[in-house]
Amino acid sequence: MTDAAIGLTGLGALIALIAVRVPIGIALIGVSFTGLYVLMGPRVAWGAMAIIPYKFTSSWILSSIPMFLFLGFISYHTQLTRGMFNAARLWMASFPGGLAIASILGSAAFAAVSGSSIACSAAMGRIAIPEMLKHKYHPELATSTVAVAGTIGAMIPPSIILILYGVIAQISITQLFLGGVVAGLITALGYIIVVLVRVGLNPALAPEKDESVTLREKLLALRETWPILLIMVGIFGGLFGGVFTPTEAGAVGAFLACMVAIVSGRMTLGRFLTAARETLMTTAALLIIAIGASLLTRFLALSGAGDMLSEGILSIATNPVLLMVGIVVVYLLMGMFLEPIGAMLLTLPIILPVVDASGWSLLWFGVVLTKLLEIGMITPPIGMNVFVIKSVVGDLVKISSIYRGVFWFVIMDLFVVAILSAFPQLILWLPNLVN
Amino acid sequence: MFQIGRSLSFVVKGASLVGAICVVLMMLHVTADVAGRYLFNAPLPGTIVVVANYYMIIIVFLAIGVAEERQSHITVDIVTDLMPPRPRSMFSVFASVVTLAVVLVLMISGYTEAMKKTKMGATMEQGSELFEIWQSYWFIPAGAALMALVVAYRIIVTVTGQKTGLSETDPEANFIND
Repeated sequence: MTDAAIGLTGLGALIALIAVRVPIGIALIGVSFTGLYVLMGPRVAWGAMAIIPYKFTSSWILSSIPMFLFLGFISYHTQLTRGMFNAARLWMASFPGGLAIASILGSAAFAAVSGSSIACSAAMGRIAIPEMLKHKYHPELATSTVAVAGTIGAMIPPSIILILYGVIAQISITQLFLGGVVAGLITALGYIIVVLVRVGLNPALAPEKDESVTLREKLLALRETWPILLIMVGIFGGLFGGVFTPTEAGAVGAFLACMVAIVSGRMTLGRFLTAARETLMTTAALLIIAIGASLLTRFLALSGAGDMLSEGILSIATNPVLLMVGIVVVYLLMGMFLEPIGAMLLTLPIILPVVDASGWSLLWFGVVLTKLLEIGMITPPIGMNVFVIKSVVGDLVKISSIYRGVFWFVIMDLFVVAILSAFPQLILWLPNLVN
Repeated sequence: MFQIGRSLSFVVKGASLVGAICVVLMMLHVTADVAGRYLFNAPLPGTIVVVANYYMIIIVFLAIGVAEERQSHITVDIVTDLMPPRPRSMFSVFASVVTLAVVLVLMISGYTEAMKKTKMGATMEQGSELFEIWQSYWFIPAGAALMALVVAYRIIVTVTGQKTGLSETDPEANFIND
């Protein structure tokens, strides 16, 4: 067998192992070790296993992941975003579908303290869906809005996907975060437009409007938004002002969240420990995959299969539009079945050289890739955000009707991806400005 | 066998507690470093080394065993979910055997590396100071050994059809219903 053939066989074995439910990280490590062994002999294989897991994990940049996760879990368990939703609810009261719009804005705010899409959906689902159902919103609209709004959580910084992408593509996390801000806000705007159009076409979807809110009430509600605002200023001021590294921003943010929760009486020892344990488990589950992906990159590079695949892709997709359409279709399909971070780590060793060779901006690609992966969180059959919302509402709403509502938002998402691809400057101007 | 599972589960809970404490310590340590630097012009020496080489290594490698017990390692279920029960459980044992083999490789390579670093008393430099880091290498073989035990136990219990003593509740469920 040629070296490249060994590499391709390895990739085939990887897919087969993952399909029979070997954990993704374990499959990556196993295939890479075996591949290096066959290719370069026992010394290199054992050497890589001895060095790479430690070296990859003991990274100052990666240490921002547990810190941002902890911040998100603390905010989730102590419901720090409730005040934000309430304020948005009053300010949006006179709009058609005001509560649905408020839940999108609330998710965007929660996104600023949480790096994951599932946590964002779950947090807003518990607060916003009961409120919407109480005001006779159609369950399909109520549930699907919160399910899709959760995806903003992975785009507006902090973002776990963007941190991992930045580490692997070796570009600045702060710059990626700035690109994510714009894409997240455009996404939120797109979702708000979908709500306005749907309710405009069919007012029965959101029949009750609360016209009686006074300006005084609106202003009073702003007082309850301070916890999130304080944490946001702490994190983003420090991060984008160049004072904090991502890890420091995450740690200080998590510390502020704990303090705010204690002061406002929402912290209990149980919640604190649960948040710490969930942080621990999520970090381990994600990083073991990242370690495996880093071993796979080495294996693919040494076998030459990586180059062969990249060149193959480039020779088929001869013009940039075709290549981009291909990338979009592949990631949408993967997103239907795979967990987004796993899907990203599995494919980056092959796709990054392609992006680089095409002369595209790696920063722009990271943000668009995140957007594509997040669409996978809401598309059937495996739409994690939809599952989370389903578990929040229980038997009240069928899963098929949540997916029906999601359909409208996915159309908007595809439109947003097209816009971001056609005008990369939309993502790049803010990072360039701060640079 | 059930009793062995209970004891194993107890060890895993210990590892989980140590890891959770490290998450909290890491937050406090980094915050104190930031506060020290900007408020008192006195950063804590070696924060970066400790965070990267101790907290990160402990958090990730002690917790892989915890994640294994709670079945929260990320897997793709779509293919096996379509299978009838018998092949599904056969593949489940197969997946566990593969996992065991890989984790044993990680344990052995981690052990030889830890021995090597211990013998040379590995250190790392931050600023002008040297910090000992050789101890942290031991968390990789230790964590891998814990995960290997959990997987091996699960294989035995599944094949012999005995009642498991592990707590395999899905953490996601608690997380959402909290």
